[in-house]
Amino acid sequence: MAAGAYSPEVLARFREPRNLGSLPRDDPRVGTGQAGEEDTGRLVRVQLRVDAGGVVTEARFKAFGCPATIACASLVTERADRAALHELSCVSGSELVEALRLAPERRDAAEVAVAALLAAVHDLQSRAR
Amino acid sequence: MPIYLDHHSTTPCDPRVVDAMAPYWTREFGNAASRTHAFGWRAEEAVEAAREEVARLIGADPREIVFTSGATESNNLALLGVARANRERGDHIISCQTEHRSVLDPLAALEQEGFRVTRLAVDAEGLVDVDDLRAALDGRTILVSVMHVNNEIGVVQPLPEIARVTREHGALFHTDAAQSVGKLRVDVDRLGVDLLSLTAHKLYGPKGMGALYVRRRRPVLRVAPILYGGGHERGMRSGTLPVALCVGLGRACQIAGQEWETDAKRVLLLRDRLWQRLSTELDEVWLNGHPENRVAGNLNLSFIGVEAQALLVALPEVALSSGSACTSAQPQPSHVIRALGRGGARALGAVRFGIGRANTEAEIDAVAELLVEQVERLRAMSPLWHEPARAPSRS
Repeated sequence: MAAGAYSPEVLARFREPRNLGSLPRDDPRVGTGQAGEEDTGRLVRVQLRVDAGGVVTEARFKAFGCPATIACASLVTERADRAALHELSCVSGSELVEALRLAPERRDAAEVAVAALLAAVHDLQSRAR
Repeated sequence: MPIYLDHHSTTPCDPRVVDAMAPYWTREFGNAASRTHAFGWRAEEAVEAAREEVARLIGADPREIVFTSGATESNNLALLGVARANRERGDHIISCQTEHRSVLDPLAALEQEGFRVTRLAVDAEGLVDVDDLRAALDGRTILVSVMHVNNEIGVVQPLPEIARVTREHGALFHTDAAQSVGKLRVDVDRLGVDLLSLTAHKLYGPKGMGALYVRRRRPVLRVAPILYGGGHERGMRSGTLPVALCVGLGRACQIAGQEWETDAKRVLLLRDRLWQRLSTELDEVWLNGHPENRVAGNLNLSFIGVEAQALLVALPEVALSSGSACTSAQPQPSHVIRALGRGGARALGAVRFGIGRANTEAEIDAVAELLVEQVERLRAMSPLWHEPARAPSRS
């Protein structure tokens, strides 16, 4: 697989991902979401910490998969950082595909990253209830 | 340029081969089939000398060598040609799940023509069980095709045993030897094969050139052509011969015959050096394929917690390959690693190292260092990786 098969945007985030890491799961202000499966080659975990007003103060990810998967996971955490939780429901795979100039056949990488983000949002919302 | 560790994919053309071919692009441009002048005679002489070299390397008679454009064509000719020419004798062909696509795809085409195909499973180390072959043979089996050395995991199939069982049953035996000729001892009589495919560019010869060995006697073999137009190569492969490429294949075979044992010993040391370093410095590295029955230059490793495409892109300094392809909606794991019964993640993490004649110890050490660094970096990103207690690498 040549690096040339990926856009410069994907390669930049793959080589220097932003917001890589984990947050403590036992923190009541941290929500965790995971999507994808090991056996299918894509697994993304997103964690968000929110303040009392429901604004994301920290976003972290870990990802297993091809460079596109890692780049998409990095980008959804950038998108989440400093956003209000309710704003995140509109983040879409198409937005990531466009921003990272993903080849259409790699759209699944974007969808998995978005699903992990939304699962983290859902985790926080279900705790708040 | 990156360090080249992809010699199963192709090899650089040896400068001695390039030198041997040089006159045949310009001064010696004759058509080997031209019988009426010296240009043709000289071209024919060069082609026949090359044919002798190919035959010598594999213990065959020159009259048993059919020149082709490479192993893909040789495999197509062997399978389609034998099946179609022997249809009245039977309709059943046996092969193996881990074959190269240039065997699997013609077999699928033969199924469309009404032939039955059995694809034998392999064990967890990639080897065919001869008892499975015995059980699969039936009264209508005309051909068995099992590769000599696997192109991904490098395992060496037990061809003499497979040949014995096949011959006892009265079927013909073909092997795709693209990855073994020039790398280990290949003797058509010792292996017991009736047909054998080889290609020049895997043994430091030119691309676009190969050969099919077709046994002449005991049994008498019938192979229907897949190309028509002139009846060259004893009617099995029409088309003007590429004289320069034939000469290149011949010279590559001559060099391989003289040097393969020395090369193999050196390459084996480099392979073991790489494996030793990676398995010592990294946890959870799995060797795919049999640890001993494998060609000297091959390592196929899965780095648990890391996806192979990501590792390859992270290592622009090294030319490597993986069996998986991340071009479709879901990454596609290698059919070879899956046939070993390995889960998707292990198949998706499989990286192939192909060490060759020109690689050095310094290159192997540099690759090991880069790999360790990048595997650790990608594992730090991976939600699958939990820093296990230090454990010996498994095979």
